[in-house]
Amino acid sequence: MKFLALSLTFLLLATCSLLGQRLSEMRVNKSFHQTTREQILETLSQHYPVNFYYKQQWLPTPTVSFQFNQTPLTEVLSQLFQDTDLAFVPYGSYAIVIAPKQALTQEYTQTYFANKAQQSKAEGPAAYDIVTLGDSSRMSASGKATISGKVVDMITGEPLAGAALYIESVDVSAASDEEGKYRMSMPVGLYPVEIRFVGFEPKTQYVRVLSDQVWNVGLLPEAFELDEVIVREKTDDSNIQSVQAGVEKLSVAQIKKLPAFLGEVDVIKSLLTLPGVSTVGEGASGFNVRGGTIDQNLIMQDEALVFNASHVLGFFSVFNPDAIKEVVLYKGNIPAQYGGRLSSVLDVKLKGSNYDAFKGSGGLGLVASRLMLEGPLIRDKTAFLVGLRSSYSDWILRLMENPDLKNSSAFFYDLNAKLSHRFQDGSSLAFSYYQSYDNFRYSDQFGYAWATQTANLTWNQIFSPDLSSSFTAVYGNTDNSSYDPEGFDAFTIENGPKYYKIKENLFITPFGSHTLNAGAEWIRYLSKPEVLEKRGDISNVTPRQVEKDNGQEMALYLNDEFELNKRLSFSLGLRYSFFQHIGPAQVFLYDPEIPRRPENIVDSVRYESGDNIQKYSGWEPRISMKIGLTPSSSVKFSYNRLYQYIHLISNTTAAVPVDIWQVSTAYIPPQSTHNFSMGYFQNFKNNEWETSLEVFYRKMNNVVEYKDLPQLLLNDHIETEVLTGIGRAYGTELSVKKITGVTTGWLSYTYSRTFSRVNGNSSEERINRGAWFPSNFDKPHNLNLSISVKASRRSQFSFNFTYSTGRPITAPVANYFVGSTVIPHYSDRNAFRIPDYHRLDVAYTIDSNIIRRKKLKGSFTFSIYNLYSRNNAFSVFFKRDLQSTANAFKLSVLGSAFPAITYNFEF
Amino acid sequence: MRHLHKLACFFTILTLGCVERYNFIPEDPVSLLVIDGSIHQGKGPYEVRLSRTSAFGSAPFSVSDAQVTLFDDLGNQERYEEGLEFGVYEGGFEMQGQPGRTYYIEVVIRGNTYRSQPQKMPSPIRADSAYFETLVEPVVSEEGNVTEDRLIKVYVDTPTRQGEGNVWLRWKYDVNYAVFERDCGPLDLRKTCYVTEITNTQDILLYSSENTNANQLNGFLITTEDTYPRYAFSTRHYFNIYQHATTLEAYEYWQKVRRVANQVGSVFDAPPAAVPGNLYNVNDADETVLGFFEATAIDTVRTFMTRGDLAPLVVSEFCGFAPNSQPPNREACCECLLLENTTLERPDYWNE
Repeated sequence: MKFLALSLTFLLLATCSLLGQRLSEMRVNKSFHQTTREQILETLSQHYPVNFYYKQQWLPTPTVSFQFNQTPLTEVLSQLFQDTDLAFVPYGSYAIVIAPKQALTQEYTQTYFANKAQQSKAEGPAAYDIVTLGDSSRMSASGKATISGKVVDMITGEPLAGAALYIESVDVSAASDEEGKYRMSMPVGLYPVEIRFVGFEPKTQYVRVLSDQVWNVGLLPEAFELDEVIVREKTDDSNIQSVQAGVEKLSVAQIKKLPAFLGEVDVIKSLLTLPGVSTVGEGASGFNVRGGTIDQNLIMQDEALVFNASHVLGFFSVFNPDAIKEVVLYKGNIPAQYGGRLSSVLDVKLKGSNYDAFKGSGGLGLVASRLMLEGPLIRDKTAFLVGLRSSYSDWILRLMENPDLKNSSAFFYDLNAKLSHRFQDGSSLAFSYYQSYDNFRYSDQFGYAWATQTANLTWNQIFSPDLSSSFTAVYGNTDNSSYDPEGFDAFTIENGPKYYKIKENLFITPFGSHTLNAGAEWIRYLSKPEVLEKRGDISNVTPRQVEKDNGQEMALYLNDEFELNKRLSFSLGLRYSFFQHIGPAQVFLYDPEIPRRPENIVDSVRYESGDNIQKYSGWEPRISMKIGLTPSSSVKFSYNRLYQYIHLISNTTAAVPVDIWQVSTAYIPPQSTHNFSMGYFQNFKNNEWETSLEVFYRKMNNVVEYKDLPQLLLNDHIETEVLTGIGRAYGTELSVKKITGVTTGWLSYTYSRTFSRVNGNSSEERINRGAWFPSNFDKPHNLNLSISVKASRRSQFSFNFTYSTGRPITAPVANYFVGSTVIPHYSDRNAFRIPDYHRLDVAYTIDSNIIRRKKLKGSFTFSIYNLYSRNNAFSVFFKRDLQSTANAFKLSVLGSAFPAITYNFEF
Repeated sequence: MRHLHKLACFFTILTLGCVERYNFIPEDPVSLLVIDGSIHQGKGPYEVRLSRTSAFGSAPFSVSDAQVTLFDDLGNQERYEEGLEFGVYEGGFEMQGQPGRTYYIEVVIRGNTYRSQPQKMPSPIRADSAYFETLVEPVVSEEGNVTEDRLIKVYVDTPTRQGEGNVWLRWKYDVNYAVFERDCGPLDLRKTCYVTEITNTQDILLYSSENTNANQLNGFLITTEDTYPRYAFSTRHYFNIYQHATTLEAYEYWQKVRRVANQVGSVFDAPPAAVPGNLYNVNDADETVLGFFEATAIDTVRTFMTRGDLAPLVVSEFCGFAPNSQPPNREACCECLLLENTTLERPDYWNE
């Protein structure tokens, strides 16, 4: 027991100098050689039913040697502290307090103890339940004190982000940040502190606050039981109390309960049930947040940038659910420590700090299986995590009658590995490695292969209770290829981004309620050349390569989150970002008076490696304010300015692996946005129900659009195909969540619109003649209902219903002949819409065991995706049918019900 | 990214995707002028067709009473005349196309003048040969059913270099076969008709030498044909391949046409768009004019097969009693000219 649990009440009792019956009977059989007193006390507490309460600094550091043979415990302690200034007093039947004799006899006087004893009696806690923080000698003149520290998982030692600490009697609350740190100020006194974190046993701890003090809190995970209904890893009222608006957290437990396509638990797809998050269609990679394109989401896995978050071209995501600790989506206020994208930040944190016990989990599904192992390599010091997931979906393809499908392949795997080490001073070092690979081949006709590797080194150091640092160095590499396997035109095109990233973040709690994040970030983008190679002996393709642009992005930031008073909280951030387009590059110059086309190139300039070609920079203020209206309601406002210096160049409705990540150049300036949002948050029935209504408006500059039917691959003058314009998006998000009870879940409704406008100098540099047009993911109405019902102790039923307005499309409106070929004539861009979309998924989860302490715990999930086989239109397109008449057709991608069974387990 | 199209097909099948007819009727009918024509190095007549776009499922509207004039870079011009077919203007009686010359057309319709961008006719690329192979392959129907069928694949071998510059090629093809009428009257006056079919008008075959260092293209697949109707193979069955050497501008135009004319609507389709041609309204730059005027150099190469090449398949006569032998119109058994695209004139190459 490292922390003093020194109760004034039990000190009063201690004056009786009587050991309890249980303690007095205790006999010690142990010998200690050259051992510190602290180690001896620890050993005794481990081998005998007794706890010791003391301050570490009180114990003399020299080592001692003793041999005890059936020695009474009192005698053992007497010998132990014989030549010291320490005395001991028993408390209750199983505890002993060790303290300086002076403290026991003078500082805590008889009267003082008597008064406090009376107070404690009224407040109710047993003496040994009270933790005393600080000491009276350091008591502030203001009568106030601040406690701070970390909330951690007692089993794994991992910090718990979003845990709530609440003192009802003085209405003081705090929430732990992403590192588990919290800070709260209150008048000196004795209080019950409620500590809650979903998925963990709630705890009420009496603390006696005397002066500023660090207090770390551990929570025990709830046992794996079916009555565990975790909706979010956040506190009961953090939606009200937190100054951050538009932040969504999903627990893996919740993600696993959502019905999933082919039973594959999917982080990205689960985000689509949240308000303000949508997609262009089933099977599409990426997601759209508040009217942003998919490249406007900063996706990070332990600070490593993820450029392609999809397996099987978008049907599954790359995140192994077993290796994930938490998933946080910032879609409203984005704190200044994040930047580089306009719409959102998806921060995926991995596990990997389990220093105490060996654990594992995994799942067996129809198309893939996964296994994750974690635990200590050196107990309390070094921990590891290894997670592997691999598909075997090819067997499904082998069952197909279609010979082309039979000879196709859709294979993927991903590997997570993490090694963490913590030092005695509280600092820690973690190395994580991620690798994924996809190979997708359609018979002998075409294929895609893509692979990602990231390596990440993180050094966390605590300099003082008020200052800690997190240093991250990341290397990331993505190799994409597209190939035509056979024939005289067989080829392979390879490309992909590579980057290095360094980030230093200081976490400072200087005074009062202020929580500062300050730091710097540097990212070097090294786009590999786009390479065309011949494939096979008979191919007559001429190999060539196109140089892609490189750059570096730097940022300095400061973000302060503080409480001005009980009602008013702020998060004020400022980020300064700076970008350089760097050589080598061949930059073409165009006649500015005429459309930018290859034939209008008038000159070119060669820049060598490291040459500065173009610079951009900008200030990015991030402001968020919370006004508490009542204990259960608040309003929040936020304004964010963001810049984006790298863009996904893609001309397909959904991105494909070889789409190009293009850094800003003189012709493709950085995208930027002003994001405004406001929200009203109200909880009911003691936070059992959470509701919110948020509105947002975004004004974007230099959004990337394309000329009609552009050629983007192997194009060394891509600026001739890209257009830039302005964009705007606005909307309302309504959310109703039921957090606890037999039935839990959420209803989210979003009304949102998103438009772009490209009005260049010539007709070919305008879209729809320069008028505003809806983006292809502009879906005004979006409704999601996700409900889980605990059917029995062992089983749970959940369903998910989704409805949205059909997305805009460019539709064929007429046809004509050129020669004997019928050509469809298409409308203005995105002038029409496909029919509305709706779908119902169901899942039923049953536990294979319910014994709380049984080692292997498993569950089966039966799910049906698209229960009523709705033929949702994905698109409307032109086709000339067998009767040689041209007609419009609609395509439904997943036009059938997809049943699946998955077995998940942990041990 | 030609294989994006294949990718889209793959997902449609894999995901039990469903394609259904969709009655898509825009509120405002679209009526845009379409100008479509070409000139080549062979003898005329050359055609320019004028029409207006129409709703799906209906034929385009012909545009009559226009003045169509062909110009070249030497200042020559020739007025085209509207022929028997509405909207089809014929010329080339005075000016014959020559490789290396630049041509454009001008069309005047009710006071509006439309003009094409000038097109320089390239030199023809002489194809070496065309040939075919027959094989038994699985055939997947649109519903996903798989059957085995006898198929014919037709290939071409051709050089792909001419001097230092790049070469852009486009192929068109048709088939030609003969049918013999049945004896339906008291006198044996049976006629022989020659039928020309373009089996897949949406198949746009393109080649660019830009990305290759090869001087020769061998085994370029022109078409995969089935063996129906069987009577089409009762005598000679010709495959005529027209190899167009064309311009970069025309090549890029047809690339775009191929992308919009063969979409399957999947997530991997490039967003479609109207295909801009090379014509414009001289008086109103904002008017959208569709179509293309092209100057190409054509080389024709052909091959033929007979019923022996399909053995052991039984090939019946026109209007015979073997399976799959019925003509689409029973009256055609006694009057073969009732068949579409039919003539009594025996093509010259039948005599070779």
